[in-house]
Amino acid sequence: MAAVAPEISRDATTPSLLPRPAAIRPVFTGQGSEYFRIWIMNTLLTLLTLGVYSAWAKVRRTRYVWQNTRLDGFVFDYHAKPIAILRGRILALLLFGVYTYSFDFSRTAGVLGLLMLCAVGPWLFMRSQQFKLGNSSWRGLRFGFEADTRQAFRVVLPILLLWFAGTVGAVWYPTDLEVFLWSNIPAIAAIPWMHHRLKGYQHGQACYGDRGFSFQPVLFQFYWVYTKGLVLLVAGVFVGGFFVFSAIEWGPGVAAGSESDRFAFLGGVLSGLLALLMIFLFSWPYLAARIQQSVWSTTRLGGVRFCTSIRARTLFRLTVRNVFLTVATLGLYWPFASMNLARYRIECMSVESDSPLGAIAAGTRSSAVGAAGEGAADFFGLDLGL
Amino acid sequence: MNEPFAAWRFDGRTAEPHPASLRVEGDALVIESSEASELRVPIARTRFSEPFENTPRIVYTDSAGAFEVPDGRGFSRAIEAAGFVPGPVVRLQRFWPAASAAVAILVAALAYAYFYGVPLAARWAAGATPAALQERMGQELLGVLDVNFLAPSALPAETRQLIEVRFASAALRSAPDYPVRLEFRTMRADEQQEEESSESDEPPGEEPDQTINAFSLPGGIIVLLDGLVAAADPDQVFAVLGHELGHVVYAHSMRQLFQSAGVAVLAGLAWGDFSGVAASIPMALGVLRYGRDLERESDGFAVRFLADDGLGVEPLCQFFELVVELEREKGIDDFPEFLSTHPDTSKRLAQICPEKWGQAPSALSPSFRGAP
Repeated sequence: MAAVAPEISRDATTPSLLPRPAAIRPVFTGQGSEYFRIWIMNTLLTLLTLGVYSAWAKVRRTRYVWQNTRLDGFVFDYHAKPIAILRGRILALLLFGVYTYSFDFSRTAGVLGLLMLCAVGPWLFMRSQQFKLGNSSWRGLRFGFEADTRQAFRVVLPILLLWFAGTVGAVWYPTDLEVFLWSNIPAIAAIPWMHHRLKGYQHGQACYGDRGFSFQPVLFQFYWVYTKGLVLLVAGVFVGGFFVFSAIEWGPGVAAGSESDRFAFLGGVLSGLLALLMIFLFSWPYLAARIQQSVWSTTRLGGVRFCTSIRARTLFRLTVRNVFLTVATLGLYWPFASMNLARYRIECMSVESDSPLGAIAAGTRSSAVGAAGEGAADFFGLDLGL
Repeated sequence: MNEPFAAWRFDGRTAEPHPASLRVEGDALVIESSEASELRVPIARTRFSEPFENTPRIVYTDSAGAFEVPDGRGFSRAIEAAGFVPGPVVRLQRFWPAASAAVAILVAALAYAYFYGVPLAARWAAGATPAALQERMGQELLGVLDVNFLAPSALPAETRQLIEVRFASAALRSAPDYPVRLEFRTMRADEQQEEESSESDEPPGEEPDQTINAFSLPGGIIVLLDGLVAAADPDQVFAVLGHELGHVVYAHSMRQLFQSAGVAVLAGLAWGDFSGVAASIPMALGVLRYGRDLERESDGFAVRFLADDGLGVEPLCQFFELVVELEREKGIDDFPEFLSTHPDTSKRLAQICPEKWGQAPSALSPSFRGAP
């Protein structure tokens, strides 16, 4: 009996005759109503198991998004073992706990905690990338992350040191404004540099099959995007501040005297929250959209180019809607919101390739997916969500 | 009956898809493709991608590669008919009634954990923390406060000794098993300036600080500020120290620490998935409520402490009346309770001396939690 040919017709052996290949756009088939049921089970079981299930939840959630993302007719898959993620989470929790509470015990303990984070942080970051990519596959081939420990430290350690300078300064000289400024301003001024450095590392070391991804630096663009983001942040502060000001000035408080002071106070609290929301709404969509554009415009996979048509304005409208509905439904809209967001961000991407994608071969860099599914045969898996 | 499903085969050597077909026969998959002869693979030795509504299913085998089946739903039915059903969670996820029940259980579990689980766990954890560790934490904390906010007390040595001796002997009687240490401090003047304007409008000067407060730290340290000693008479100071001793006896500062950690975990579990900010609002309000519960518990201890001494609750009532008076002068008596670390002073009065203050002096808005 002859094999039944799938409906999608393709002929990969004939090279494309088009002068320039057409862009392939991914399609996202995830639905809020289906994801809601997955999400509510995840949340409930996570709560009932005091967080233990969160590792399984993470796998379910990632599988849902990956498997609903189709590129060139085929879906992605995620193979991480929940138990490895659980081990990784316990480790991360311990480290984070040490970092959070060590300064409550003593300065020495705090500095030791920071040193420990610096000593393992870069390695953990590298492993988390290896875990995430090594457990993702498409068309039977895995992604991967090629990195060595020395390089990880060279890339990540300067970021950590710069970042913790402010913490140490604040503990030793809590009331000294000069120390505060000198230990924090360099770190704040370097945020775009840090972000760019990490993105470059993530995209430059990733691989698929026998091909490595490459990333050309776009540091200037990052600074430009962050500067404009800062302008929008200030605009957000002004709009938010306007709410606070109007609540205090024209609210019921002043006219009626001390009797309704607490309404004015409540108004102040609410408008403060609104202000925070405004700041988030004004700057986040812009930053997210523009950074995504910059990063993908300069990322290559051999002859494969990436592009995203994501627009800050559309992302802004989507975010406003999502935030409003999520708050109004006390969180129940969240799964729908996250599917909307994922659909927009994924479907904005496009991929152009000189040669058929099918020609990509398995390499020494990453292996095929077997029945056991073990990728980065890891004792623990970290997914830092970066 | 066992219809074949069209599939794409990936051999794991390249990303090239090859047409194939799969069908379920008994407990095995029969694979046909153009380049190889018919192949039987036991289903038990394959792995499937998770079934979702609109996704293909992918079958991973060790010997024959991976197969992506576009008709995921139909293929899932075929595998399940062969007896290979997915786990209970995946099956529950398909049904709306299960999802609705999950919402209800989630709300109930959250409420239970918040009102009973976290306080109970914090009480247990505080009890399990070694005394030496608590003492050290208190010492470190006092060190940090000394560096940043506090200055040595300006009270005459004999005043301090009077307070200390009287309190120490009473503490020995009411709470013999708890080591307590009394520390005298005053708020540092330059720090007060930087506080919010609602706290002090007086221009900074050489005059002693007026902050009326006393607080307890882990390890049995009670800090008494000069401002309180200046504003209250010795009996009232003694009564306030009784209240602080309550915090020590019930290990409130440790419990507070664990409770805020517990609420953070709870909020993170429930809302952390989408927003840290959204998770921190219920958390902040939740921690404040715990604080008010602890204050009430400490007030109860103070009442017994004063009864043991034979003094009676009168001085404590007088002190709270003083606080009510001061709050009224400052115009902060209307501060909403649910945003406060302490219960409304009038409510505390009603609890401590019900015969005098049984009816709260001003009928304020009901507290956040409803009836206390």
